[in-house]
Amino acid sequence: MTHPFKIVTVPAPIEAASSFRLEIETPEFPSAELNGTELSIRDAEGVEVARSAIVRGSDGVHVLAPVPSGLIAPATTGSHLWQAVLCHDDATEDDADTPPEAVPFAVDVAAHTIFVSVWDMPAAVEAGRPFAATIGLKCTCGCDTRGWAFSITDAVGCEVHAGRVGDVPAAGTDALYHARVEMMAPAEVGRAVWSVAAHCPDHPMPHALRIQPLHLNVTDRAEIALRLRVVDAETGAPVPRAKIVAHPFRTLADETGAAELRVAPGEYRIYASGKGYFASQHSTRITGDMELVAELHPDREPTVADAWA
Amino acid sequence: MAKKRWTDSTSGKAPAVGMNRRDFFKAGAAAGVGAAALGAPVAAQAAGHEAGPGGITWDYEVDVVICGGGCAGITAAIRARDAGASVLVVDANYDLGGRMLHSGSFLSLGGGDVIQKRDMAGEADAEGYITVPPVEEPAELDDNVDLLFTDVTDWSIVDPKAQSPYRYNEREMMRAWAENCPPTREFLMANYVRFTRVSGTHGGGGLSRARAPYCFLMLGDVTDIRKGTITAEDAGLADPERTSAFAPVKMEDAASLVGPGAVRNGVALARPLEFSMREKGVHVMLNRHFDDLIREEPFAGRVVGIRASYTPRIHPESGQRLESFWQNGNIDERRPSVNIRARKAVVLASGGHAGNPEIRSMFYGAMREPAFPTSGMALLGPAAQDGTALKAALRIGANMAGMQQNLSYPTTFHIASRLGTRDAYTDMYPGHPTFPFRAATGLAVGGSGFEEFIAVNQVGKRFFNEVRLPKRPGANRYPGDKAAPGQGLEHKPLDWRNCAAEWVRQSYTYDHGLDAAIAMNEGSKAPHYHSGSLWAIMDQDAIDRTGWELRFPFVNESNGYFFKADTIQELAGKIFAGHPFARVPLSHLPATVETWNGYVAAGADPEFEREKDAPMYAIAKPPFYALSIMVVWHDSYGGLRCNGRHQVIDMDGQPIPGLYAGGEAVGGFNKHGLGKGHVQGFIAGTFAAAELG
Repeated sequence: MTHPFKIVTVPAPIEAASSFRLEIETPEFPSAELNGTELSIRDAEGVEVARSAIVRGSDGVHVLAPVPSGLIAPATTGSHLWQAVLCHDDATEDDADTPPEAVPFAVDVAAHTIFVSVWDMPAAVEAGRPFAATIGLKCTCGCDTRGWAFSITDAVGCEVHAGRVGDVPAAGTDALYHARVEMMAPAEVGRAVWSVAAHCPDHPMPHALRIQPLHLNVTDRAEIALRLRVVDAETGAPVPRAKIVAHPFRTLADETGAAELRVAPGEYRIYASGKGYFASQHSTRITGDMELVAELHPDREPTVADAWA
Repeated sequence: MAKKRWTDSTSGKAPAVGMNRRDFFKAGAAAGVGAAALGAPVAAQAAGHEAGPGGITWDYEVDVVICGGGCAGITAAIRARDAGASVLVVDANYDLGGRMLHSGSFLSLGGGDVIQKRDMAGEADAEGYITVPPVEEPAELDDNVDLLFTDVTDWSIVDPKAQSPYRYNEREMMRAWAENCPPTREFLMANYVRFTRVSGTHGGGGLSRARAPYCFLMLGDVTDIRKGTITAEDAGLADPERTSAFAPVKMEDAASLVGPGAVRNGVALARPLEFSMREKGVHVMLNRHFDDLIREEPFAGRVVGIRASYTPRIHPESGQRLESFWQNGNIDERRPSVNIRARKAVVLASGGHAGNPEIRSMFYGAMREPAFPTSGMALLGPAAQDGTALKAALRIGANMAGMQQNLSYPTTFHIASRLGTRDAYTDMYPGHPTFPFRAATGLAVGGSGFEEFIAVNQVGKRFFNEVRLPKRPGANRYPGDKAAPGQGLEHKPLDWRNCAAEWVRQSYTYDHGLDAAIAMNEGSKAPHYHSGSLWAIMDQDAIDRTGWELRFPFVNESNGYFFKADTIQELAGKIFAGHPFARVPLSHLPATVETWNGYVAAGADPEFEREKDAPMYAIAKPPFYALSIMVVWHDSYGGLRCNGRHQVIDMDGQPIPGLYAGGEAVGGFNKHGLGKGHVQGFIAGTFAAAELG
């Protein structure tokens, strides 16, 4: 049997026991007129879970009009075959002569994801020296992650840390539980990508293991002082809290526009920028202590004349 | 029947000079009876009067009907009224001014106008407000009509997008424009408009001379249009986070162009003109959208009137209808549709089509995307720039001109650097009645602020080097710093060297970030393949670095254009659930951020080479933020074809009797802004009033 349209879930796949909506795709071109067609949505057991009409959005996409209780996916992962049954005004389902038209569609259910965040970590770490980072865990579907475990493995798969997040959300977040972790940088200079994985055994909802990379820029001893004074190119006034980046080293200037960055010897493209100032760059080789003045050009609000050339 | 309210513009006194109420309601009960008769049902006033084409019943009758109360419409209205005509302005919005009110008031005319001459002579204004010396040298102000006409029809000029802004302009119309620039300047001054020192020239106004001052008012204890003063509160300057009902956009300091205490922007142009118009007895019907022209025959005969529908703007919180700042001259007509007879002429001044995705997509199919509005959507409402003049005139046989010029103006469409609001073109704070329609002022991050975040499309993918997104092509006007050979006075008009290959290569600065932003992506679906919304994605570190204030009124978590979340994945979900134009989930966003953080760690962005232009920062520290990035299609340059009298021309090259047009409704003049609208309104008003009727 061919159906006049195809039904897809949005999103696809859907996380276990979370809500979703349905979009109607018409394979023919031009698209068929489906506006107002009423559908009975039935789960894999044939139980009606929703009844609503197809509506055409202003963008031309047909969707099933939202139902008050929403559509909720099953709690078990895998593909579930649901059906949309067309409701006819002049024929009931009991009418043996006109069996209802049913359009099957897949409700693909995925495990919840534990989203791992890594922050407050230095952009550069010195080889063989300790450094710290903050690890936060949150389930994408809002499962309570307090006390959930995580582990950090190095580039060759050796575990370098195992821990659990605390029970206080990170500042500014609703429920991102976190832990501060001390680790030791590798002895070898260069880029290294470690990974953080979260675990939640014994939770009633399925949770997928998600690996989050942890990027390390391992450097030699950063002992050369790069001193910068950041000023307005037009007035010479200091640019407070200017941003200094000499990859991978970075810092912020103080209120007088002065900054000191400890770097390892090497070639650098040094950026200075500030709130209301365009970034200014300077490329140089650094072998010993150095002082630079960075002149920044202000990003004034464009005048009418600027804007309407 | 809705109650009709009538207040004469001179506060209930005798009508202004030249005003004749009988003129307005020809079929009114007893002539000059006043309030009682005017309060009678409108249908009774028209009873027994001759019917219009097809037996149409006229609800109102007047000499000249002006569709749209912006820069062209108000100018045309005053001009026609000055000539003794009875005039009715119909506007879809709740208040007058159109986009003139939120403009910068940079009014480029020239041809040797009185302000150029004043500054050449080093003189002040008659009131003595101007205390600073001229900005431009006398030689740079030494202008005449022939030079202006040459400038705005110069075939040889090529702009930084390698396009030609002047050669396609309609020649007869440009001659009329150049000749009418000087009298229009004087006309505006005679209607309470005060001009600053001339400083440069507006885009499309020519390369040879300095031609544009701003409009100003002086801060004072009272707002008095006659005296040219405005209170700090009315100017929106009393409180840094409030605007006023008088000035939807905060006025700017004009000290360097006038002297201490002077403020400028479109308020100093729109409000004085509106004041003068109402004072002179022009009638105003607000909340009334011009829909259709009524012509004697479908494609023949005179245009004899219009049909207009009721379009009140209802405050989303109070449920009350918005009311105009000034009321005198208003006709409170609330019937769904009325027919208005124009004995002499109809002037189309209801704007262009930048707010109509269907029409603007004629020039760039990607701009059919309704997620991106024209500028000023909160102030101007849903009918702003909806192309109604073009549509109505085409229905009765009009021709078009300069349609391709929509794409040859370098900054017609651009990416705004104000984030987190749909109305990203201008600021607006609480205090203006239309603020709730945008619900946030937006976060003005400037061009430099784009280094703080990544920009993603509707599926959560990056699409261009972020710091290049807000860049706009350079000038094509005096002084010709980036778009014309030579500087200022050294410019030689009509010289083939202006478009020599060497020069084009040297001046070409067009950046394609906007085109990447509106390109198709994985979320683009048939039939329109919309590109979808754009988002600035940043973390708490970006806020700590910049000190950006993510609070009301700058952002608003319930306006659908700003979101905050604990994780990037959650942020993607919130955008999809809460943004009015989200059609597909931002399913790539978590991977995009993860990839970006890898680029930051590596110090290189292999996709878009960000590292060559600006530093890069990881997006790691919660909470995470998404602020909308808006593409703005500001204005339009294609439109109705007009002759030098601003009569609308039909497909056979003949003027349509009784039909005039001005401003953005008109095509064939690749000039941005007010200078086009005011002069065209001036011309249209002049000739409309002179019609025999």
